Amino acid sequence: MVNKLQFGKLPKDGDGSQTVVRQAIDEAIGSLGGPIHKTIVWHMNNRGVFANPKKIDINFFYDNLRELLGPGADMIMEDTWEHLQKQHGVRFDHDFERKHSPAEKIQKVMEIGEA
Amino acid sequence: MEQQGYLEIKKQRTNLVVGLIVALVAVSALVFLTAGSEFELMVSDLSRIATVGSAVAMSLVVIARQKISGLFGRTYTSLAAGLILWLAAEGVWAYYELGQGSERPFPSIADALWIAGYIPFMYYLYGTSRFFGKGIKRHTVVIVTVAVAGFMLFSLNAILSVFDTSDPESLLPLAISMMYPIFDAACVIPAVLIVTNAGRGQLTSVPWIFIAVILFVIGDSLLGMTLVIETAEVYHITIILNAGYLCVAAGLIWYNRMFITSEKKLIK
Repeated sequence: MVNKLQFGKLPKDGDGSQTVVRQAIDEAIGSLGGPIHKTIVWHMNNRGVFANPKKIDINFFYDNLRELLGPGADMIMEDTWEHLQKQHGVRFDHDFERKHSPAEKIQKVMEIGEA
Repeated sequence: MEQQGYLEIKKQRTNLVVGLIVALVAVSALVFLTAGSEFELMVSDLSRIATVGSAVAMSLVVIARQKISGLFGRTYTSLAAGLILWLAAEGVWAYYELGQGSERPFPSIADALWIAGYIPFMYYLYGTSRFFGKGIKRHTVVIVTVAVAGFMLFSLNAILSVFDTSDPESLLPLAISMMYPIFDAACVIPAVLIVTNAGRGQLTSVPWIFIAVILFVIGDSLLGMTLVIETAEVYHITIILNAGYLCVAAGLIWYNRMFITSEKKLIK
């Protein structure tokens, strides 16, 4: 199913989109403040979420983040998605955009990038 | 390792809750046992200075370790500013009651400090609400806002009834008195919403500072009632305010321990 995704400046290869998503996650967590960023990354590393620096399982990341930060995880996912939109011009059609959570949209971007 | 980490977090939370309960019981017992005695004013005033002072001290530790950048850097700095203003207000109030021993002026410098303290406190509450309040249903926001607005209007009406509005000299005290329920309402809306949204997240399940705000508003409302029903018994209000200040201190201890991980631990 194609959801009229506009890649914008996002690399269309799997590795490139993984790297960009990882950077967007870093930016979103970093916006909370340096020490918090370090703490969250430390917890994620302990859980094996960031085991592979070039590949990230967004659902595994989101589940662990929610377990650690509760509702705060949704803010981080939302900011990650906003970052992808603003910095890389990633867009879905309005209907898909409205019906899906940021985690689902990021997952879709990565799936399409890998296809 | 993950399971061990979770158990460690759970243990730390239990320790903090036990510590908070012990501190609460000790301070409240002191206030309760001296109520009605010649030491009431002194114990009441000094206990509030001590409890808000402990929160100020912890907030300064947080700023020193975290610095002021990022959402949490900005909001926790703002929280510290609010607490410092409230500590100053408590200090001035104690000076009126214990130092001067005279009739407490109203409005006073203490009122100016208390009211000024609401602004940075609100910045903290609304700033962090986006983080702690994700997922709150729109109808919950509407219900809480309507309930709080209703209570605020009731409080304003009760305050209006004790002032002679035809006397120009009573207008300033009236305006100051009305500011408290208005600011309390603005603070308690995000606090109640966040508390109803709590319980999730190993690091975020207890919204200490939001619970404290609810206690402050309860204390303030009771204080407003003493104005209306003209009672001199206020020791229970001191107990509630102390509980609020200690809850803020506990929240800051938690934040300092769990959110700002030490370099030593990060290297491990």
